[in-house]
Amino acid sequence: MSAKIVIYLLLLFAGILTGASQYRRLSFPYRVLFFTFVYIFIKESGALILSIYFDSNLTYYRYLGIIDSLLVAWIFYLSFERNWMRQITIAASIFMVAYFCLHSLRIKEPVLGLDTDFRLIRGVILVIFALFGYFQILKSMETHPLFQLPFFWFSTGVLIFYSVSIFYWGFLSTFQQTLNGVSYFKIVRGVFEWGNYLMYLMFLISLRKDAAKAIGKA
Amino acid sequence: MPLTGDIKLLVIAGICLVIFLLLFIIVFVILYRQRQDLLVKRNEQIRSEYNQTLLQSQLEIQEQTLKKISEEIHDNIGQVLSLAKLHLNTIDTPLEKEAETKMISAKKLVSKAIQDLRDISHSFNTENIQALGLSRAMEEELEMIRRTGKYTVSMRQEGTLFRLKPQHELILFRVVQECLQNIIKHAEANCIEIMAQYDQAGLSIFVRDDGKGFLVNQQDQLLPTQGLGIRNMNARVSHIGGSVTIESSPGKGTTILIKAPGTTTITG
Repeated sequence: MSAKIVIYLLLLFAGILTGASQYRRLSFPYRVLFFTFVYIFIKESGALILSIYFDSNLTYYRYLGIIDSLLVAWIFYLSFERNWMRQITIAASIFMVAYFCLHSLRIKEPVLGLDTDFRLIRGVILVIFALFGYFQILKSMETHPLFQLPFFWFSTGVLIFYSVSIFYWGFLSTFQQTLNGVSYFKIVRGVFEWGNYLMYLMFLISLRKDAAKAIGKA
Repeated sequence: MPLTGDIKLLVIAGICLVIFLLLFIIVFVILYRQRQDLLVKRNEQIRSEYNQTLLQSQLEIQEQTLKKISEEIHDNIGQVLSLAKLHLNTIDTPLEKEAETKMISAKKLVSKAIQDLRDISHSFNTENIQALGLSRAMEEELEMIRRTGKYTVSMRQEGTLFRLKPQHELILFRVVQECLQNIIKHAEANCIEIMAQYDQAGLSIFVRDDGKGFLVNQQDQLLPTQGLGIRNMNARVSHIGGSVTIESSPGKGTTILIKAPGTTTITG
């Protein structure tokens, strides 16, 4: 087990602990974020076990990936205040599920492999949601320090990771057959992984900020 | 492995993406802070306008109430007392000496009551105050106090007298009235002086007494009504761009300076 995986699991576990200890103070979107942490932790733990005892865990990732996306989309839906944003979130989520199902049925990419096309599209959709989040924060009529806003941290985490993810999956789609094992791939993969850790770190910060907001109101 | 053209492009694209993301977030933070500053300023402006409107409404309600009371005093109580005085004056039946003494005393008391009520009515009547002007109104207010026999009063003017806007003169008069009422209630003074200084900067009114004084920086130790009265004075005079300053110390009397800016004057 590499150090990176340990860090990753510890980060997820820290999110679970934070969410559990502050659960009563959390608003509903951030309770969903807490359950997202729980889900991701279980998923990653399962993936780790599969990678130890089986050749590949890609199929596992492929079919559980849609749930991550829907959980993040749901948090955005709950956080958006404008109706048109919520409607777009619902439409985009339906599109994601439909695309995922059709893509799996068409078997454009090997069923036992990763669905890079879907992950590209998912990345684009979630980056758009993050930009909506920024728009909402900017247009807010309330006066709050930016770094105390939990939604800022959540949106920034999603923006950073899924922007990197678009680049990464696009990279893989184009160079998958030619660059396996090449060092550039490792660098890109490294950026992708650290982007993922950064996202969950920002999610953790957003949980703490949401709990602090509740204490401040009380 | 040497970098091929495509890979080079990819690496550059990757670096550009990271830089773009960072710049985007920095620009967003800057924009957010600018917007927050604007919102804070706007909220302060709205709060200030709201307070001004609220104060204006309070002043109007106060003046309407005083006007109503003035009318009631004049129309009802004043009339009743005048009638009572008339009845007393028309008693021509010879009386015993003691009864006659009491009759004369009763006539004097009724006359005094009528005079006092007239004074109060005039003092409350907004139109009367505005017709007299601030200077005459303050003189009449001091004269009312002098007639009680408990105080030595004086009024001085410096500079060329000018009129302020009627609404502003009314506000200043009410503040001076409040000062005088505070002196009567709390100061235990013997002498009261008003000095009105007219100059290009505006009007400065000094209300002085030789009473017991108080510690100005311990206004929270004043009675609730005293503290509230001082805050009300400040609020009302601030409404017309003026200020109220209090100088006092225990045993050394009190001087209240009420300033109104020259921009509130009217010509003619």
